[in-house]
Amino acid sequence: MRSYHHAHPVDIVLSVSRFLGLLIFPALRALYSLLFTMDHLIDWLRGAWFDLIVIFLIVGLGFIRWYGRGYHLEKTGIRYRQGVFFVKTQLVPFEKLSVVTKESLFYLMPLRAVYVCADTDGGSPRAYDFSMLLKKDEAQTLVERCRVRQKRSMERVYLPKNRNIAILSLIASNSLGGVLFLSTLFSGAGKVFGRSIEREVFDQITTVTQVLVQGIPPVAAIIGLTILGGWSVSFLKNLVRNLRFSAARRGAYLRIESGLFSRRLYDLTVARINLIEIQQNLFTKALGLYTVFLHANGYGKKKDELSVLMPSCDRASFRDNLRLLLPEFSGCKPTVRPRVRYLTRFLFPPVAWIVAVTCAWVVVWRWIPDLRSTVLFLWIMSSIPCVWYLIVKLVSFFHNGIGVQQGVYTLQYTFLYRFKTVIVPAQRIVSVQIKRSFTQFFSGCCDVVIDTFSEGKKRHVIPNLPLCKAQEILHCTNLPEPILLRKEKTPSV
Amino acid sequence: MEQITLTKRVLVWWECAAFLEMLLLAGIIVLVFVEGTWLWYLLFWLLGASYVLVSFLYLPLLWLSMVYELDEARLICHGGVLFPKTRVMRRERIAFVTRVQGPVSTLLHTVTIVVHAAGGTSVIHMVDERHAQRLYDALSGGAS
Repeated sequence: MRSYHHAHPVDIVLSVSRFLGLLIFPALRALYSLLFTMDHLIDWLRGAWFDLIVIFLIVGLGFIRWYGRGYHLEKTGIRYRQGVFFVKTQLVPFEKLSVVTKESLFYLMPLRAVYVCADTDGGSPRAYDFSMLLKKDEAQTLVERCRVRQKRSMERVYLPKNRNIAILSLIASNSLGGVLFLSTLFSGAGKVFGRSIEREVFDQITTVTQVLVQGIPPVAAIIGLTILGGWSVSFLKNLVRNLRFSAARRGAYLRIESGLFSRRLYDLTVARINLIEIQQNLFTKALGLYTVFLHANGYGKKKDELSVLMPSCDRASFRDNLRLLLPEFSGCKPTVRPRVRYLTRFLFPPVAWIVAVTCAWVVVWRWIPDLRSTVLFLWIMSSIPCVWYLIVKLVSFFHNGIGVQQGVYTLQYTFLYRFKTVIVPAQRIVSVQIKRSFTQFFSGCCDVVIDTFSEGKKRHVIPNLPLCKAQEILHCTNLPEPILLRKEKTPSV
Repeated sequence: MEQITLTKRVLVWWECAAFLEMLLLAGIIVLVFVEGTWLWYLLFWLLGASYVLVSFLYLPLLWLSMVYELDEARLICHGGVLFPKTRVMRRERIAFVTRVQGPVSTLLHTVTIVVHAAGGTSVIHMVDERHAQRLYDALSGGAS
């Protein structure tokens, strides 16, 4: 009879914390204010009895849920059981694991509780195949059992400087994430501390705003400060998450650790890494900085988690460190590139956007003469991204291409405003599509669409490459001509 | 090649569930609509006809169509009446296997097995417990 290990007892409360938080803080607040007066306590009980019953029910459900969950370490894998009425049992084999994660959150460290997550190539792309909150020593045993004992092999370690991590946080931060975080924080604080405190905080923010942005239209000032505030919060979150980053290669595994207060440890099976992706924007491309991510099922799955391999480095460091950590992924320069006569294909879409935006604002300018200064401001604001896009597309003409060396493909392309370089072994390519639009038929070029191995779909589109060279490098020769251009009927295969 | 079909208990459960649903819908019609009107009679006729078609034709055919085959290299799942579907999954691609048993499955001594592989899952619905354990062990062994 198997004995299943349960999760850490604090999981009883954590698993229902979303529902508990709505009730418990107002109840505790009321109780604190009445703590020293017995008569008022009875009055409080008369009013809050229903809330107390609901709290006990929620904690009770949490206990039932905790009791129904357990794991057992077997010879070949982790056997995991979940549920009381609907019992789910699964066996996750050790050798199918692609990533094992150990996360020590700072607020759980005094309780010696650690999250352990494991993922394979199957299962949901949004959730880990195995995830539990365990006691620290149990978590250590589990993580060690997930890794086959190896002979002592040399460990190769990569330790980036803090300024490189700061650059990564600068690049990866986005205002929307920060704004959502702040709005959730203020809303939650209002529920806990009371609406009067929430109003007081907002009044203070408004006062500071008025002092800082004299001379700027109020609407523009509020939008600008919201974006700046949101971005700053996102930057700090990313910085705290990625500080003390290290990557170490030992044998068949790659171990990545990061986090200033909450430490995260990821154990990746190198054979299950799907691809390496280098992302640059216009600034980092001009400065020659590379931010390297790696794609393995289970790494970078959580919200706000980045699947980083190298936060930021120059070209020489990138080459040296990639050879150190993942010599299996050796990139090369693209040999198949767009021809000069395809340049107009790159420039036409952004030019069309600039013309369309300009025409639209000219029409608005003529229709609403009273708001010409506002219209002019908005026209400039909306033209900036279009001009930026034009510059990006011009640079992408020189960036795009495909190369192959020793069975490893290097794909270079642009997605929106980002320049991407993907290094992927041939066996991780699932499908190749060669697409040609009506105008591409006559110019002899095509778009190459490559799907790579992942839990969901990962697609790479490299546009406007010469057809013959693309077919040759991807081993897709002897394709039939499109039906409208065929001169004679070809027999079906 | 091992072939697994659904037990008769599953068909009985489906028929009972269809009957209960028919009763529920009949109750809703009686409560909501005015008795004796043409709409009331029409709804009852439609309900009856649907129940006869589902209970005596669709469910037995569906039960007969659901067959699972397992050989050394593949798991093949057949099923469907109006849109028959065959799904072939290579055993070497299986990542892990989940066994699900709810209160009704426990009463009927059946188990649902979900096979997870890179890119998709296959569900083996309500097989007998003895076959399910054998299947689960065989697929888990193939997954490891």
